Amino acid sequence: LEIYELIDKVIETDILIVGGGGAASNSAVSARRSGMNVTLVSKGKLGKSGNSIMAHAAFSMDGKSAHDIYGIKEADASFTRDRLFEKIVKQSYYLSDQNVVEQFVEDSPAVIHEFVEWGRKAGQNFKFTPPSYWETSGRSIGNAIRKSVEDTEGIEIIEDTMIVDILTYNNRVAGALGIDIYSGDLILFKAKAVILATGGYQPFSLKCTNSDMTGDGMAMAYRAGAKLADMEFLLFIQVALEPESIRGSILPFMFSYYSFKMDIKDAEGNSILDEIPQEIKTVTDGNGVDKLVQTYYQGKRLFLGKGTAKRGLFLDFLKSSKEELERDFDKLTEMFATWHKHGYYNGDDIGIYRKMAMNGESIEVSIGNEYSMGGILVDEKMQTDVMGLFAAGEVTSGLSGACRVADALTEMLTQGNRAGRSAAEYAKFAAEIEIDSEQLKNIVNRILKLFENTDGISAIKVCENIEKAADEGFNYCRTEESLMSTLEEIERIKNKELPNIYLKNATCNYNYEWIKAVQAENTILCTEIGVRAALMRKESRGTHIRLDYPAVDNDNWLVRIIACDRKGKIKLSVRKPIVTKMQLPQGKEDSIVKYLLKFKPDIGDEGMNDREMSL
Amino acid sequence: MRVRIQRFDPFVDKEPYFQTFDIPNPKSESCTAMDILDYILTNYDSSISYYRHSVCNHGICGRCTLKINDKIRLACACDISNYNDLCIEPVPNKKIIKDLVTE
Repeated sequence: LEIYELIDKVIETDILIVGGGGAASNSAVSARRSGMNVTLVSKGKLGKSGNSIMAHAAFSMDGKSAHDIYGIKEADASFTRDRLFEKIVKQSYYLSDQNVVEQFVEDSPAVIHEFVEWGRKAGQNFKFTPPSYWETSGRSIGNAIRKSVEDTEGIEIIEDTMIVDILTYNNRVAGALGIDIYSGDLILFKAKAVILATGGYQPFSLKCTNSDMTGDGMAMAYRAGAKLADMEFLLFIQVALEPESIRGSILPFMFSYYSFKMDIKDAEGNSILDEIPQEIKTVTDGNGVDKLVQTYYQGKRLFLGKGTAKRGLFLDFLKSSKEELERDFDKLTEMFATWHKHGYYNGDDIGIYRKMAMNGESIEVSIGNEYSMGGILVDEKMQTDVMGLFAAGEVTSGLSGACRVADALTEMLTQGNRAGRSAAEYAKFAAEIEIDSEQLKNIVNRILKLFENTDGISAIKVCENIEKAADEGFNYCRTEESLMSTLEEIERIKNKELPNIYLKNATCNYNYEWIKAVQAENTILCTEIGVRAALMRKESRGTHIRLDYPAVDNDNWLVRIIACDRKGKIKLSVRKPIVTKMQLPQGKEDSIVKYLLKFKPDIGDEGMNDREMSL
Repeated sequence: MRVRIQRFDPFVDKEPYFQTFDIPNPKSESCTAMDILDYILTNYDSSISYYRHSVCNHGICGRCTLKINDKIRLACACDISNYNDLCIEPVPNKKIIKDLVTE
């Protein structure tokens, strides 16, 4: 059968952008401004999908630029670009590629200033808070994203369409193949350049992220010949386990973020917060790295089996008087009412927690996945190792190394802007597009073959099993044994379940089983690479917490682990991070927490310590 | 708990029909219509179709709108703890793509 008979539609463009959040929108805007034809394809709806809308959103630039260039009087001018650079590198445990950090620091002021303007035009409330960040809601971010694309004439938007693979010709990009999720049509996109802005991979069952964070972009880039790096580093945050209706909500994190007096206890009633040494609290309380410290102490307790049956912990407010609680909940409710329905945080009812708190009840919480530091290896121009393939935002690696604290929104916007410009520069002089029909045929066959099994396991179950495997040994704390057990299970799923996926749903129109089956291949690939890298890294660093190797070992492991495809097998190699300004440290630190005490990466967060102001 | 779900695949069926699922009462005191649909999808029938491929599950994206016991609600934010039975239909007056998914 001629392959083109299976293709329902062909769309030709200069630059194809894949994603529905801020990295995609800013890529599209900057590429379009460079005079190129731009097509943006999103798995969901632009500005209503991906992780951009999931944030309790803060984005920033350095304080000096905010103060001196943009005339914001409240900005802290002492928070200079150099200090921002130092903060990111130290928070990354020195694993950042410093050329990528420089791009972030240098490009962010203009990019963020423009995004604030789009937000204002879209009628959104972006609240400036010292030293130099803007606070808003995920929904407002989404509205500003849509506004930016609407205001830039000539960007073609195709929504509810999933890109399944990148097409190459002679090792350069030639386009991509997509599925229109509603109709099931196969769409061939011919493009001179592709920008992946598809977000991260969150392989666990408990997460605060959008359901489409399945590692598609990373897996597609890898299959196209690009490299992935830092895949062992995943960021965690406190989330709700109950009530079930808001499982995964970051509302419990907000209590500590906004300085409620509270405690976290294990299933036996032992306080975890009391266990954290005062010297560490002094350095980390109320600032960004607190998230990592909480993961370290709470995660260890959970890993050692001290949690509830649901692997939870108990949050209580018994340290607060009823008057204090009334006051704090009133303030929180009023503050959230700036962006959300009164009494709610997004769709989550604050009143449920208020009632539980006032009754002296505990709330079951745990640690869920928020973000992946790892991803596609890019340079400061957002170029990957494949000609014509660019990436921006959470799908990339290099900015945050072993730990990101804030600024994911700044990352997506700033990198998106740069990727759009770089792709345009490339596409202007790129050769005519040619399609490798053999390669196209293989991709089409791979996704249509999923309909052939007449019996087997559902793709929904397979995805659930991948999550269970990741939960078991690749979570917030790890050991050789736990990681090996996850790897064995991942291998089993890959060999026994993936080939036996059976789609009960036999038609292509809105076939969620089909979409899940395609995603399962992507998530399992990212997870396997992450687990293999975590096994290789025999130390702890940032969010990679190895209980059997607790020390941060700068002499042996201050390297990025890079994965590439070698004849169908995952090949891991290491290299030092790129240094432009700050020399890499030597020696060992006893633990990831001791590192924080020594390097104090929280500089610049001083203004965030007293959130009473913003409350 | 008895859950009635409207089903319709325009490429297979002549007209919409209801399928009934008798499922155990949710263990949690508080769960959403989305949780119930997910439960049925995972444990009873992996072919039921509702908007699920790019959802926030916290009332942000607004894409899981359905008719639930005759009211138009977001499935992910619709607490069903006070319902004994559920009737889930697509949003009316829209072209049905499949089951509960509308254009």
